[in-house]
Amino acid sequence: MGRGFKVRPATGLKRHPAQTLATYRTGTWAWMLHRATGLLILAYLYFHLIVLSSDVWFKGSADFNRVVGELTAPPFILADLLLFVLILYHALNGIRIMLFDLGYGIGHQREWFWGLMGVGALLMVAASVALLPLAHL
Amino acid sequence: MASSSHPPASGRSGTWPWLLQRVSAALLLFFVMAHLWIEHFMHLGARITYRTVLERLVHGFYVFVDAGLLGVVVFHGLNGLRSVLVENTNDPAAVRAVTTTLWVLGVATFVFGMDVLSPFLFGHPWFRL
Repeated sequence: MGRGFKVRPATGLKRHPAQTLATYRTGTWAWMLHRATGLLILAYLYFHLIVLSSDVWFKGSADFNRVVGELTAPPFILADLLLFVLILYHALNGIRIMLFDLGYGIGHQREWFWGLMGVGALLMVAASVALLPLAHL
Repeated sequence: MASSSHPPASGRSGTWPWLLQRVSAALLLFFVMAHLWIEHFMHLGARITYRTVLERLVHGFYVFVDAGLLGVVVFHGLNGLRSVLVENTNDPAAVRAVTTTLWVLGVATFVFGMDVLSPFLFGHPWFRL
């Protein structure tokens, strides 16, 4: 027998959506983006495993080479960089969350957010410099 | 201390999923960086073929990175999905159903992932269609 209880719904105070949006601060967006990037990366994980397995399942090494060859074509280099954005955001914001869990930086959450996003931007520039020449732009 | 507040009757306060999410996150910082470095930057521009992957996976360290990443990332991803799915319910039966379903999915995903690695590790795929 479940011993659950219902969460009491919010009462009164009907707000215009724009007013609700105005209450979202940096941390709210950081939380939403953390969830969105996490779910997208999980979806990518399945895509990744399915794509890499299908060729080997059906035929063999020659088809593995063909599929991987296609995946290193220019459009996929750009897709890799987009994936890198998702992973970098999730990892850096995750570091921020764990720092607060350990008791560091709780009074400076926004500063930590923008500081780590700065680190992310630098890493993105480095990755782009390394990978974009392969995309033959 | 508020001595009148009791933990949920099921005894499941959610501490373990919370803690393990952080432990797996810390492990992923290593595994994901290693994976991205090995696959994308270590031999920049070199062609990836069945043979180069096969030669890499002869070494135990690379098997450790690939299999370790697979196990930890599947746990972290599905545990994260679990926290999204159960955040608006306090019904222990519903939470248990979600947890059980995701464990089954997780084990299946790990086996599927190992199957992707299996031709390189064992010379032939575990499963064939």
